[in-house]
Amino acid sequence: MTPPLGLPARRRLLASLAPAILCLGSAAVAQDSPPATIDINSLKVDVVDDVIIPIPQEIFSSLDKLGDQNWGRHLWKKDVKLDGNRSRTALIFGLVISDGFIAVQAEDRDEVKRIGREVLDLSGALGVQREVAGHAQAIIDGADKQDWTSVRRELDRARQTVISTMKELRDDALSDLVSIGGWLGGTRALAALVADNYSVDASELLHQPDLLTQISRRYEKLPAKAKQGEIFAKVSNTLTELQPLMQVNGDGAVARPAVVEISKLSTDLTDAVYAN
Amino acid sequence: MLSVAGLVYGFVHEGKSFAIEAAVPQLELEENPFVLREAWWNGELQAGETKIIQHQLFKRNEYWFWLGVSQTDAKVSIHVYDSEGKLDEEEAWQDRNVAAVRVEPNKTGVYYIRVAVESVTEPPAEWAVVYAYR
Repeated sequence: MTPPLGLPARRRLLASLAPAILCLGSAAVAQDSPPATIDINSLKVDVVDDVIIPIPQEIFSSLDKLGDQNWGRHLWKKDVKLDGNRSRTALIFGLVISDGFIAVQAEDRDEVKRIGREVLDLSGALGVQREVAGHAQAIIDGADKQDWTSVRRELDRARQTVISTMKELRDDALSDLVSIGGWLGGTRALAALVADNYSVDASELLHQPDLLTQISRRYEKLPAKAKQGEIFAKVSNTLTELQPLMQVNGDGAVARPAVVEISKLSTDLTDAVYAN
Repeated sequence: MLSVAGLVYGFVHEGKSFAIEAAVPQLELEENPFVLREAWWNGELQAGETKIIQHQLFKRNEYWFWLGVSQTDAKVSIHVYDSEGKLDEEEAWQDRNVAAVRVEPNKTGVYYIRVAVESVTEPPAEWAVVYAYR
């Protein structure tokens, strides 16, 4: 079903499509007759199983449109101490990538360079240093040039390279843990910023109950051997505790007390992962 | 599998290549270009089949999603629906085995991306979806 557009609207639509049509150099046209609605309650058989977790930069991009943020205040400069638990290393890798995005927001060149080196070391601990080395060096080089666009791209590439390589190595659990660590790090910074300077618009970015459900389901499915150690019980508990908090109220906001609690829970968990 | 959607095992996914080729103009805008995510989705579809991707979007951002399939004679489409299942997109286009849709979400939350293969002579169609934001 085509969206109900009148003729002027159709002309505007086609006008807006013109650049894309020209760039493709062929017969790109507005799509025909998509259904106006779909029944989201009967999607089970048609849903793609894969979940792509937004990187922190996607969320930060929206937050920045509300005004300047004090990113430096929420930039953690945590020393990484590994203990041989590869699952925890994967969580930390995700956290470090998130910290990289925060450091870029703060335009902290030295911290971004340190994170580039951490990315290299952690990838070594995960056995994928060869695949990640180029991206880690590009993060460092980009920081030197203060080319933040490049650094953001390389942070995402480093993250995806680890995830993809883990999959190739049939180590799905570690790739999931990298993603979960990344989400946790971004949520910690987002919640802290929103708690500092609360607004309805900013709080709505924490409206992530469905995403959290997807993350929790994946986490629960991980094999027990990938969740050995106290920290993983804490991950499970925190995901459960966050679920009711990441909802909007009638005003379309995540209430201030809930934001403060999300900040506390995500900060405590992040701290625990780093400290262990 | 979280975030490992569309993994390639050492070979190039042609559907993804077509999707990225279609994305290039938006990624190379002189002002405020879109930022391509490295993660992507993929799978296989028969003619007439659809799949739904659930994905979290954030208000105030703008997104493009590009669908490509490896078979150049295929006809495909892609559309986005909000959390209530209502069509919610700014524009969409299709060109045989490639289609795209632009979204400016009114709310932060999960959206439903509907990919469809309307026709393909040698099924299944191997599809890939990439996306970018700004």
